[in-house]
Amino acid sequence: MEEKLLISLADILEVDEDAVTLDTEFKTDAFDWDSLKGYATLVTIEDEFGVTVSVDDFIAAKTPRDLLSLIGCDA
Amino acid sequence: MAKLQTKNVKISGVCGALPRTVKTVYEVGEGFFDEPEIRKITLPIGVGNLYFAEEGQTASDLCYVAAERLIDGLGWQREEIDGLIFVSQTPDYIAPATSCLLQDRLGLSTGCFAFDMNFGCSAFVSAYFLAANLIDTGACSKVLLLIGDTLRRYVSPEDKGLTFIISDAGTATALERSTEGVLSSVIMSTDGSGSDALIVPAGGARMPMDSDTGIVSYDDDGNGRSSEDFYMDGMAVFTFAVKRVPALIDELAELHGMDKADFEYFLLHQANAYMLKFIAKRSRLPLEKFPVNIGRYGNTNGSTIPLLICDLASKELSMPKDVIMSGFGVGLSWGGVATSLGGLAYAGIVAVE
Repeated sequence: MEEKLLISLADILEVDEDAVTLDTEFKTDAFDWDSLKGYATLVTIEDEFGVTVSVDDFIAAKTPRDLLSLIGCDA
Repeated sequence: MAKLQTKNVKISGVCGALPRTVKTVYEVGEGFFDEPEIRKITLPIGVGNLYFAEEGQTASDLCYVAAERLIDGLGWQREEIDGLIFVSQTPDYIAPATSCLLQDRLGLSTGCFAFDMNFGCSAFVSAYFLAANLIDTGACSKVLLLIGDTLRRYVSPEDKGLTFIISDAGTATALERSTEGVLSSVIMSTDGSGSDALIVPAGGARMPMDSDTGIVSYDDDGNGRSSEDFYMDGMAVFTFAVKRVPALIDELAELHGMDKADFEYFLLHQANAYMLKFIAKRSRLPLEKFPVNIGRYGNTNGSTIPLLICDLASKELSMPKDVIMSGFGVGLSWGGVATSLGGLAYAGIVAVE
């Protein structure tokens, strides 16, 4: 589950897979974070994990670990 | 499901018409956004230049120039053209239909059936669906699809979700009856529950313009727009497109009797470059099969697919190409055409003076 999320996130962020770890703060300029990548992440979580995450919860999440918690799979 | 398969129709030619004024995204954003912010917004969407219709220049003016060039380029006799479909969200008048004005202006015969359709990003596939039906049944033999918009006038310069995307253009596409046996498969879909995701709220019968509708208000992200401006719910539109389009590609390939991997190109409405990449990935298809020209022309609404065909044809005019074309957006409305573009006799883009 963790690996699946990290691979998907790296794809969305258009970076190498080893650039994203569970504690990477990905919503930063270092990853050129923007709303499009946010939408892509929400769609991916819904499709790959079958979970609909609220926008407010998603905005509060900073790391992949936070996302896993929202998905209901604490790492 | 609304669908069509025919071997009696082919695209003979396409012409795009661009207004004279072209601005870089930095010129467009000047006075409202600083350069680093413009760079951050426009890099992922892939836009470099945007076209602006002149004052007083309408979508039908742009389409007229494209149609004149196309008719001459194909050597079509005007009296043979028995169908004209004008597709726009910026018609000349509330009434009459702009297509009637274009029938006269282009010197087409009174035996021509001319009508307007109100579609945006799905304009090309919607008009193709109707025109192909008219030709397939024998009702018409040569049909012009005139698709164009001057939507810039409805875009607030303070709306960063739209001001760096929307661009003006007009196009003309020629469809005719064919005995060459080229198969076309078309699927069309609608979901009006998303009608508020892309909308100009004021100016129609539901919300007539008044002294309040022009007042600009600001959202949480600092985007300013009035009810008379075009509005886009970015998240709703992104989610809609990246879910619906890959599913449509699968359905269309199956209807067409081909493996989707065997299509040479996927000519998608140029919504934004990041979205197109995401659609390609979700479809598990190679990115290089999804041409992107939003950098050159911006998102010209219904004109994007004809402009893509023009760009492709300028490189590979004589080569038969199995393609899937798909438009998706305002409505919400989406659809696709699977066919071969091998028979183009004319393709070009003209600058309107």
